[in-house]
Order: sequence, then C-alpha cells, then structure tokens
Amino acid sequence: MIKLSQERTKELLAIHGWSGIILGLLLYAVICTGTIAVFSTEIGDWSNPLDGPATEGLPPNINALVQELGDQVDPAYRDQFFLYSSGGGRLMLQFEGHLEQDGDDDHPGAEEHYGVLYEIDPNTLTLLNRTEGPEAMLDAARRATDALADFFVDLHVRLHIPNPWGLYVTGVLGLIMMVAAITGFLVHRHLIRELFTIRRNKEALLRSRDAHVIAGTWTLPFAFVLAFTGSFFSFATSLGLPAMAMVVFGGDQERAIAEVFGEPPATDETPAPVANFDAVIADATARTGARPNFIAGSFYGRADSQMRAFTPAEEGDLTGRSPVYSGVTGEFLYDKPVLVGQSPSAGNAVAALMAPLHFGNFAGIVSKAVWFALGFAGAYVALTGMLLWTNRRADQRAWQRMGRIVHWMGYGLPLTMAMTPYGTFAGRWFGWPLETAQWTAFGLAALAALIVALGARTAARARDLLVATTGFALLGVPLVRYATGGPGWLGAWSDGLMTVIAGDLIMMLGGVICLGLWRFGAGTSAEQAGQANSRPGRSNPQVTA
Amino acid sequence: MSVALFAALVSALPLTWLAWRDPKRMRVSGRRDRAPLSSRIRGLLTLCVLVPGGVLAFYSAAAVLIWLGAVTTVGWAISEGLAPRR
Repeated sequence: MIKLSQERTKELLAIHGWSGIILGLLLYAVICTGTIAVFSTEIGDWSNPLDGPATEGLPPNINALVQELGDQVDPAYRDQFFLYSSGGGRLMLQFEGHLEQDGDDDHPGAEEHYGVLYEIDPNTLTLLNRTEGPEAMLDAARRATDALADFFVDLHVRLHIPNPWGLYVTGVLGLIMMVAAITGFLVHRHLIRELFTIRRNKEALLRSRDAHVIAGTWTLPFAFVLAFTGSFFSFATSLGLPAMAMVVFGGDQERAIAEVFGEPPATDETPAPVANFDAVIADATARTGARPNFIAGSFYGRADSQMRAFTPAEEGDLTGRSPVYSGVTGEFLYDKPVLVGQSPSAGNAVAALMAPLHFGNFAGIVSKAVWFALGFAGAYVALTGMLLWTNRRADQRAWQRMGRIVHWMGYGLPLTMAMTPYGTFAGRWFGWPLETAQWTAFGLAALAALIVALGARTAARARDLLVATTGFALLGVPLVRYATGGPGWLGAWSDGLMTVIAGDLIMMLGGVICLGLWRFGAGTSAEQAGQANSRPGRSNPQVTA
Repeated sequence: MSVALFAALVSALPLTWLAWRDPKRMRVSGRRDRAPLSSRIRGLLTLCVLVPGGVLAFYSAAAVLIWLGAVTTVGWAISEGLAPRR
C-alpha cells in the first residue's frame, strides 16, 4: 500500500515486533479480559441472579422505598446519593458524605468518604442488605453483588494494580497497541491484494505469518479505535485531568473539575422534601426515549438538591442523555452533556463517543456480540504475533523459553479465566471472602498452567493440555454454579432468568469448542511453526514481512 | 439493530464471492479449474459489499458501526474458511 524502502520497512518491523513482544503478554491479558468484559452486565446477571429477571433500567414504583431508606440515613452522609443496578438486576441505593477524622487546630483531620449502601430486590422491593461504613467497605459490598464481572473488568481496566499505576500501565498498553497497528499497516505491502490469502498449504512460518497478518488486516480499524479509546479512558482521569489542572488552572484540580463537569448549584442547607423518584424516572424516559439506568444526586433532603438521570442510547444513537432535575420538586432543569461542560460542544460530542466505541454497548446484545468478535480477533492477532516472533527465533534458547511463556499466557489465561467462576461460586457458597476465593482459583490455575507450559515435552503438547483443560473447566462451570446454590434450568425458565440458561449454554459451547480444538484442531499455524523450527539453526528464508 | 446485521449479511454474499474467486487466493491454492475474477468485476463486488453500509449511514451511525464490525470479522472468517487445507 505505502511504498517504503527496505531499510525503513525493517526498522518499522522491528518496532512492530519488539513493542509487541515486550508488552504483548500484558496486552494480550488486557484484550482477553476486555473481550469478556463486554458482557459484564450479563455475567453479573448470570452469576448472581435473583428470583426474577433483571429489568432494563431502573425498576418502577421505587419512590416510597427509596424515600423511606433515605430518611433513615444520617443527614451528615447525604451529600451524594446514587441509584443504579448491579448483578442480577439488584437495585443499589448509595448515600455518601464525609467523615472528619480526629485532629487538632494545627493538624485538621483528613476527611474520608463514609456512607450507607442498600441492596434491594427490584422485583419484591425488599431490602436484601444494608452496609454502613467508609467508602472501601461500601465498595466491597457493591462488588460482592457483581464479583465475577468486577474481577474481569478490574483485570481489564488496571490489571488489578492499584490506582493510578494500573491505569498508567493499561494506558501505555493501549499506546503500544496503536503503535503495533500503525506499524503493521505500514509494513504490510499488499494489504488489499492479500486480503484473502492464507497459505495454509505452505511452510509453517508462512502459514503463521498469514494467519497473523490477515486477522490483523481485517480488524485493523477497530484495533486502532479500541486501543485509542482504551488509552483515553486510562489516561483521562489518571493523567489528563491533573495535567490539565496543572497547565490551565495552576494545579487547582477542583477548579478544573468544576470547569469540565460543571459548577455545583449555590449552597442552601435548608431542609426540604425530596422529589418523587418515580416521576423523575418517568419524565426522563419520556424526554429521552430510554429508561434511565443510573441516577446521581447531591444533598438529599436539602433545598439545593439536584439529581441527574443517565439514560442509555436510544435505538439508532451512540450515546445516551442526562437530564438534570431539581432534587426537591422533581422539576426538569436542563439537559446536561453526558460527559463534559454545561452545554453541547464538539469536545463533549467527541469525548462522549469514546465509551460506545470502546464498550460496544450502544445497541444491546447485538453490538456487544460484534464487539466481542472484534475483541476475540484482537486477542488472536496479539497471540499469533507473539508466537510468530518467538518461533522465528526458536533456534535460540532464550526465545524458546520466551515461546513457552507465550504459550503459558496465550493458552493459560483462558484457563484461569474459566476457573475464576469456580472461586466466585465456592466463595459465595461457603461464605469465604469473594476476592480471596477468586484469586485462589485464578492463581492456582495460573500456576498449573505455568507448570504445564514449562514442563511439557513440546510446546504443542503444552497447548493441547491447556486447551483441553480449559474445555473441561468450561463444561464444569454450569454444574458448579448449580451445585453452589444457583438456580437449575427449570427454575430459571419459570422465573424468566433466560440469562442464566444462555450463560450456561455459552459456557458449554465454549467447552465443546475447546475440546474440539484439542481433539481435531491443529492449533495456530505459528505454534506449528514452532514445531517445525525447533531445532537450532533451522530457519525459513521465505518468510518475510 | 437487526437491520445492521441484515446489512452485514447482504455484504457477506459479494464478499464471499470476492474471496472465492480472488486471484491471489486461487493462485496460492493451486486452483486452476476456474478463472479468477477480473478487476472490473472485483470493483463491482467491492461496491456491492460497501453499499449496505452506505445505505445504513442514512439510518444511524450505530448501525454503520455494527455493520462495519460485523463485516470485518466476517471477512476474516471467510479468509480463514477458504484458506487451502494442508
């Protein structure tokens, strides 16, 4: 496509390969978990269902209960309130304020967030759980309802590394993916001519090169978009906002936040009634054409209270809307841009596109399925690229070892992800701390995969073992879910829990596919290349970029 | 959004034909029983692949994105599916 000198092509290929191989293992983990996280809502509904189906958006007739619970909260912790859905469609009502810690005049105590979290069954409108404490405790209680999805999302967003470092790492990985996409595009000389060319009947390295290049070529635009938007999300709040505050507002982050997200209304601490939540939800639904799935409010029970309803994208649109209401009368005040600023702007329009482009959640299950396929293709490109790179150098001992590590990550990560539900279900059933149980299952699977990857006689044997084990693990997930108190298929059918049945079927289908690949498939071409090229000194001069 | 999936299916038909009679693919497969498509026909088929997406642009941006994502993954799947056996 773009004519480059041989020297320049070599340089770009080196950048493409080295950037990929150095951080490719982590990038592969981020892509794999991101692919699964596309269905985070469905994973939550499948793994922790209630007795009735989860509703689309916030459930109806909740005003009386929300007001009753809100009135029980200490007014000191009503600075902010949130209403949203969690795993299984649970309605979560959260109040937060500031708890000042002990100090003296010279050393005033630090303020920490403190509040109350109610977990409500939206079908029966009964209170399931109440948690009161600092933010971390509320966070843990919220995560417990959506533990499995949260585990994958956290792995995708920050690799479970504490903030902001995890966000920095994934942001850099996004940049690396962009570099790989651009350099891959530049070095591929016959982009259109070879769009359908996979020489599976030729030498192993040529096969693997074609497999990597063709998957990469087809999904190139989306690889770039997903990498760019992912980087944006990682860096926007961890680096972008502080940097902007530094440059434009002299380091005043509060001023920067007010400028970006809007000024809060004038303070008025006079006690006041609370707006009718059902009426606000009904108005937002009528106004935007979609039922709100999130309400964020400030100063519950005060005259300066406001609440903002967030609605998902209407049919055909990419972004939702967020009308703002008086928290006292429920009167509609204005339509606020979803992301930044007080009035519609090009900046907000562009920023608001980042979420649908990255999450693919703008058209329900259809767009999610397409984004899942794109994520799968991205993971395939990353894995085949790393295998190709290591197999080309398989005559060197260090690269042979690296090849085994790539096998560990490439085929072991799906196994560890398939084992994570075991930890989640067992933890919930036996009352263990959920995160510990999840990490135990995940860690043990990772360790077992490492032993197999390093200890197997050949890399192909390691791959076969890991793929087969993943297949059996996936087949066992529905059984473990049922054995640990989850609904059976008949019960799920009668309760309208179609997500449960669909989730089980998808797990089983994944298991069957893995076992089919193990039994009848031949693995990736790159892996085959490793077999063919395993003896030192043997190389394939026909393989070029 | 089923209209976007339908459009992707419509695009997949000429895409499959393009792949099936692609000159380079046929050459490396050793297929000499049929003639590859001429460049004019390939241009026409490419247009047929793109037209549903163009029509969707008048419908909604979301539909175009879904169509594009589906067509690119289907294109990859077709390439894999039509690759010559070992």
